[in-house]
Amino acid sequence: MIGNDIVDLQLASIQSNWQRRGWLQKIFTQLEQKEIYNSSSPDLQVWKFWSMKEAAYKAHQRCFYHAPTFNPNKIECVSATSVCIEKYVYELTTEFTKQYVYSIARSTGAYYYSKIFQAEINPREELKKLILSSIRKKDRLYFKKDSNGIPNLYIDGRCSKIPFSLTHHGDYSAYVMLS
Amino acid sequence: MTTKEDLLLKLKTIITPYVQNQEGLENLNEGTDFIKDLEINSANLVDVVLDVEDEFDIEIDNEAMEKMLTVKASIEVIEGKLAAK
Repeated sequence: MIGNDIVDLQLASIQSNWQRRGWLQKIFTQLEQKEIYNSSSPDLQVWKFWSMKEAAYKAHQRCFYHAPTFNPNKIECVSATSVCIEKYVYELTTEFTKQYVYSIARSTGAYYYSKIFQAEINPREELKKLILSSIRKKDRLYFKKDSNGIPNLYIDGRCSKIPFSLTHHGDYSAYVMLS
Repeated sequence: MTTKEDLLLKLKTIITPYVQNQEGLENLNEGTDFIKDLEINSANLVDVVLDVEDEFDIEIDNEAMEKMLTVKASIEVIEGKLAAK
């Protein structure tokens, strides 16, 4: 399974004050909090962990068809490359620049294809193009969210079950698809 | 005793700064979903929870927070915590 999450660091600094009393405690486990405080760049570490948790949550939710919940404390970054949710472990890849942090969570060993976009480009359309090029048919493709809010890709009216994930924040967006 | 209307009004004031879809805010009702209908950034859900704690002087544990994704669920959580005070 697969999930991704991108954080526009500039927007995050405007939208969220992670130093607000209680904020870190509501989101991060004690282990994570310790690592944030010990980090040479706590600000970046907050968003790294956050994007890892979000990406893993999305992969987990897609895997188990869970209804949405909000309990980031139950999702733990156990290392820089793994996140644990209810005993399930996801493999994480996180990259960052001065502008963004981007995480991909996947079931251990899964291969994926991912692309990051800036500003105006719609990752949904890009993902459509990519899939259309591989099925070589002029099928009608569209996205539809299920009752849990998880998007699915429909090809000619049928749910394709293609595992993918989309993310957008501020000036950045991305898609990831299992290959 | 706080009425449900009071609660809804207070909750609306709390969430307003985080709402990215104003149309959703205008149509606010019990069924409103914070992420789907109001496009509140998920990192800001924590701010909503913290603001609710401050406003009502209650403590919201993780179990309660987990449910606070809609207006209805949030009101239920607040009512429950107020009653337990």
